[in-house]
Amino acid sequence: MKHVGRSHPRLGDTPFLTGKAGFVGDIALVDQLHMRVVRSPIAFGRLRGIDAAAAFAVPGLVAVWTAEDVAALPPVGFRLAAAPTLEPYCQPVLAVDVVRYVGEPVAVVFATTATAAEDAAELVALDIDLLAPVLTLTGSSRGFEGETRPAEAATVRKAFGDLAGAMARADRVVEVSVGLDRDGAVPGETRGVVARWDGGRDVIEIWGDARLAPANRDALATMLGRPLAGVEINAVAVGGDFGMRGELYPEDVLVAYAARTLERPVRWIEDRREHLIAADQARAMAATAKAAVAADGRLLALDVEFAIDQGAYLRPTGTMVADLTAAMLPGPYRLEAFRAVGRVRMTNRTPAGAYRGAGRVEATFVRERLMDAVAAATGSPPLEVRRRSFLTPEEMPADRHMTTLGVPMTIDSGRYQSLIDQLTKRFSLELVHRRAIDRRAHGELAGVGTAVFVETSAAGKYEHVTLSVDPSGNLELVTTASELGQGLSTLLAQIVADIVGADPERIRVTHGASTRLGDGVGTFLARSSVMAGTAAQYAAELMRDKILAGAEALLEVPRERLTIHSGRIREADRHFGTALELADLARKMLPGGPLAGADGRGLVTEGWVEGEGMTFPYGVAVAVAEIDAMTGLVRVPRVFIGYDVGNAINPALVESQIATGAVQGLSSALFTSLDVSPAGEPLRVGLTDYLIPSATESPSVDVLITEDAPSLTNPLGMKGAGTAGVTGIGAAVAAAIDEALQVPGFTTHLPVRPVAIRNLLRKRSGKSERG
Amino acid sequence: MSRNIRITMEVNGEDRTIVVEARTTLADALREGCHLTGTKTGCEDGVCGACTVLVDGEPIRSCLMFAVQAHGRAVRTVESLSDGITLHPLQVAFHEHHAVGCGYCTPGLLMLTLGALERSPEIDEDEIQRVVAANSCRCTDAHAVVKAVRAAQTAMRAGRE
Repeated sequence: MKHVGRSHPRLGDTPFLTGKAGFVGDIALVDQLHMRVVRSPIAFGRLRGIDAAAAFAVPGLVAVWTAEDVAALPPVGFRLAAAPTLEPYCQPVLAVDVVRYVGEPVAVVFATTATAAEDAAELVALDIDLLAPVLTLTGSSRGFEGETRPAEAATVRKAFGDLAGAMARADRVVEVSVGLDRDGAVPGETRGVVARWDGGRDVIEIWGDARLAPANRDALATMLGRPLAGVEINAVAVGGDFGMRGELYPEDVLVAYAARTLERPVRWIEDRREHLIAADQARAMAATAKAAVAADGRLLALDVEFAIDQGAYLRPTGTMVADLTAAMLPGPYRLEAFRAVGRVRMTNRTPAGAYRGAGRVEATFVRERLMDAVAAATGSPPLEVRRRSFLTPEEMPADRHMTTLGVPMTIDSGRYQSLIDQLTKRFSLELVHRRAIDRRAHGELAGVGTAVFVETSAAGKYEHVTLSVDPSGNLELVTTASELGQGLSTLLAQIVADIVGADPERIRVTHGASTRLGDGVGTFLARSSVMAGTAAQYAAELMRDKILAGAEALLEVPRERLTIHSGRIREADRHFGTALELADLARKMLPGGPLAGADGRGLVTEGWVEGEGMTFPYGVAVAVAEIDAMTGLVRVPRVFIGYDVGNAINPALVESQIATGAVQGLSSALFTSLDVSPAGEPLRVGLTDYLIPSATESPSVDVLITEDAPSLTNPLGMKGAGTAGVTGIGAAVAAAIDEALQVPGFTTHLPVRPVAIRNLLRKRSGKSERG
Repeated sequence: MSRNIRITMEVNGEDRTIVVEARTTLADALREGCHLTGTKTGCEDGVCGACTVLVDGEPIRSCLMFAVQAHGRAVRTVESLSDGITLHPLQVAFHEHHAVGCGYCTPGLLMLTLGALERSPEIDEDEIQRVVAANSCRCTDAHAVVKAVRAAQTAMRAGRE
């Protein structure tokens, strides 16, 4: 049976269903210490002194560290695009002289129990002189009193074509000013890390998110002055990552350093308040975007200036979000000229990092709001405005004349209009539109909005896997890419199963295995199915060759006449009888033996893939919004998403990624933001303040997956899907709200505030009363 | 800091006697005192429901209950659902309906919906959705969870007949 393309239930669910899966908080090591972080309660101030004397009265307290005690540790550096000008923006592992956001680690306490560590941390007194915090993008231009580093850490510029000429030739120029609030991944499990120094081997063993284990291992080894072999990062089960987790944080460095220095295992598990003030946040941005439109309604050029609220420090992702935002602004449209200027602005807010759909969510919101404004300005239907300017399949691959993340940007494939047409037909969207019109005619506030988006995936230079067959006929695929609940293990097993001729259930995928493989990159930018999937394909093809060569020698039957099914090698022209079990062959092909294969290694193969450019999957998001006139509350009962994934290895997993991504996107559009008081104190410090949409608020998400535009960058034609659901929702919901209210351009900012809608409706009814 | 207290509770059918502080939550007592780490904590505010267990058959947030309050009562955790060989119909249904994401909230969702189905075996889809909405989850499709619970309801009904 063929496995690729089937909605195979996920492999490896059982530990999660039975409570056996080992998350980091489930690890308890003998003699372990608990670390608790003392965090700044002040958004911006001069750190005058730290008095820990009272903490030492707590039974079980072992140590209290401040910046002086960790002076040997450099600040946390960059994983991507390091540059000397960015170094002043790196975060020290503990604050030195200045605190720059509420939640910044100032001291750490180590004790024999978690409660003792918490009790002691509360007794550490901080003496901080207040400075005036900068909390918004508009305020930061005046700079910070008492900071030597400029408020704008970096400026990203991308451009092509003759912008001035296109603007001059334009029939009209349409402009919008739009923005997004801060939000965050806020996964079910908070962050955590456990480390132990194995003195016998002189290795610091770390347990935690291993999404970026190779890079983090290298960074930690450098920071701690150890050989790479002196640091091991072991994968654990992870309760939601979404790009927030897995990057190196100050706490990770502190735990690793403490395990070595104190010579006892050290455990740090974040509480929810800490998570909401100290884990990476994202999305906050403001943009002014102009479109030059020709007389026939086609787009000529885009000119966008945007600023990103980076918070107090740059994170290991550096300026990635600004870079991707700029690069993804053109989306699916043909442009003669383009210019983007992205400003990375520092504020006294929690540092911002990557969050699912990083850069694409921001770019899509700006561009699609602008396209709706063009539609309103030209009096054309929104979908018609888009259709006129789509790049056509004949124009693919389309060179975007710029780079992103250092890679030349060429859109590999895409059939944008076809996807819209298919989605419209598949879910009878004409009826959905007509129903909204009908409801409005009856006085209801209902509308439908559409956003078209281009995604990107598969950056990162290479990926490496090994594949082996053990003497019992079980296969193991080892990868540094991570299973984060997205079903990667299942996808990889399906790919290997088809090629080798084995059952997926007999294939164990060992993920996050940087301790087994020296190299590999990890999981980000929806790259794993593409990169690790292609490496797995190569390893599986080599394995099939080896198996057939071994069987040929053993059976004295030419390999052309042999097939492999469910781990049994048969003669293709015989209907009955198994010539050889894979297990028997594996035993005969053990390394060193006469049948060990040309390389003498037996049934072991490797798959190595080098980055052959990025893939650019694309999609359409359609949202239905209905507004309660009394309260101004917006409800989104239905969402439709069409997405071209190139090759859906497991359609159910893709659909699940899209459906859940859509709910996360809806969350940022309607419900959640991480706002602060005028003094910079976070207002969302628990899940009572930060309201995650539940089953009741979750819309029904209808997904259409197409495979019309396979990627040219990998032989299976795969494109990533991890961020597809989240990217277009904000823009689609904004358009739906505008239509429901019959006020084009009303929604300029997400999340939408019911009070703004209420004010509009009140003003409107006031007018009608007077009229 | 805090007085130690000896409590005895029935956990998954077995009497367990452990020593806790007065302030120790039932969630911590199960995880650390009984080494049953299947019960998760996500917010410790009683909102997310990852820590949901059954106490005398009722779903409760174990982060909001002190361990001493469970003295003399019967607690069931996710570890009670399967004997290690056969999965409970709810577990099977969650697997088959792609109702497991990262898996962190799964134990809480299983115990919450088990409690609901044991109390009201015939609840309808709307009610199931309201029950599921009591817990929060960031990466599982809530509608898949509702479908799974519906399927489990049918399987459990067949099991009773």
